[in-house]
Amino acid sequence: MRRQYEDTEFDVPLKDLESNFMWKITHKQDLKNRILTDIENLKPNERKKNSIIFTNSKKVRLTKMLTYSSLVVILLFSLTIGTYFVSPTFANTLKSIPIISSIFGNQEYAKEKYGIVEQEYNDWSELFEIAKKTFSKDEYDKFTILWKKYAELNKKMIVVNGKRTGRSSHNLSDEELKEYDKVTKKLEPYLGTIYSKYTYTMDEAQKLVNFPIKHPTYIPKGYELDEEEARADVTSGQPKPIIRMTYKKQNADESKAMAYWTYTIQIQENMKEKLTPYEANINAFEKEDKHLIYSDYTLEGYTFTLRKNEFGNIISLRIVVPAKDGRSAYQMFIINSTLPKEELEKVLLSMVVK
Amino acid sequence: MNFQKGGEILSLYNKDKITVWYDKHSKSVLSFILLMVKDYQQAEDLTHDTFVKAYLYFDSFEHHSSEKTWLFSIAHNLTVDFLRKRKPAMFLKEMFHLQKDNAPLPEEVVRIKEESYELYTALGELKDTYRRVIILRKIKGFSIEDTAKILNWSESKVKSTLFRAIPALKKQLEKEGYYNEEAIRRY
Repeated sequence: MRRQYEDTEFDVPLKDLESNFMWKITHKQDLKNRILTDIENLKPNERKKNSIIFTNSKKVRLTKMLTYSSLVVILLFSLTIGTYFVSPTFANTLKSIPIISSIFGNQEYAKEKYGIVEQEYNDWSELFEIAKKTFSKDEYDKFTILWKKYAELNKKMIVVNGKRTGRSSHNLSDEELKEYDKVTKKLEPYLGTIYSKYTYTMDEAQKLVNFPIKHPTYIPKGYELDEEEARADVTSGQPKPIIRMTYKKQNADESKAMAYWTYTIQIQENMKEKLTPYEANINAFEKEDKHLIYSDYTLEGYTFTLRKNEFGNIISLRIVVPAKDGRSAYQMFIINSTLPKEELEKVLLSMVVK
Repeated sequence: MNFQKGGEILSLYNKDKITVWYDKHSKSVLSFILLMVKDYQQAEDLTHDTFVKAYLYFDSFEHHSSEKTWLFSIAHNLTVDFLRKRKPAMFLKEMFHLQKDNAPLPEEVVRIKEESYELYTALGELKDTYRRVIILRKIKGFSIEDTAKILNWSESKVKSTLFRAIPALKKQLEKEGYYNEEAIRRY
């Protein structure tokens, strides 16, 4: 029986698939040059990017930028003037209108025009509220123009035939793809500035959460703390930091998948994870996927959830710690590790204050 | 990489080796990754990373397996990691969904001849483990031993998974209306 499927009727057509795969020689050569350049620079993660700006497209962008700037300026000017010359009640109403609606319209309009779902609209709304407080007027205007450009390109990636789908760059032309890369590159420092406000030391994070942040007292043999960080989602409300501690195996073969030589413990309030529809949500523990199998069990009075996936022997484990003595409930999980389940249990249990 | 005392000569040697390996195996590595991620741009980036990583870890390459098996092992791990890694820059992109793709599709930059396109499509519909084992064993022609090394599976798992994968592929082709004895016989 086994031999039947070792030599199959598909052997020849499958073999032919390899030779029937055509790759443009120019692309192959370009990639080779890129690899060799990066090797010479000995910085594999810092790929050189083509920063040539063509005069014509620069002019077009400048014109668009001026147009967008003017629109934004007019809009903001109108709102400001409005608040001075209308009745106090109406002025308050104007002030209570979220900033995002002055840029992207209301949620329904934004869905129609930019393809974004409610969750994304709310995220963007928070982002612009913070951006407004963080940046100078000039910076804020530039940020708004860039984000609008991003939103236009983003729509082309997420809406096909008028319907929202998963994200795919294949819906962009080559030129649009280059433009997308440029826009997101330009947005990064702005987002970095905003996000630095939501990055904390462990002590700062501890003051913001009502559960104990504790390092594990049990560490699997050969591993040591590599890095730790505390970050929260951008919010105009109370930030809720998520703490991550990454442990790395000493003298590991780093050419293997990370799950073989690192594990990260994530600690956060016991809340339902935010999952945006149609998006990958690739690091969420609660993500549903046909390749992921979840099972709950109890150990030492705590609820554990084990997640197995089909990628070899890689597992994830979560413990839920209930509220106690005025402290909030919280959860800790390790995503993607090749360590045995029992080892992960020991790590998580060693972090619980009993 | 050690650049002291003859380290530069070693580095040049390694670079030359990687260049030769690239010429020999890059197309196969790229098509493997493309079949896995179904996104040309991502496949190109991961192919880039595969060869840069091979250069960086060249000294750890032991000739227990062929260079091709070693390269595919790196490519496989990088591809699997692609969905798992969490790095600060990526976190920002994830948070506001600035990443380009989450449901990538095949691209026209690379071409697959018409007679193989049905198989390519059907493979894309298979569960991931089936797809990987078929690609490595039947398309790339790796031995069971090498396939096990690349996937970090036991040899028996490779055999048993392939045993289930082939009927699944046949079923998928039937489902899509591509499979018939005549079509197979023409090969």
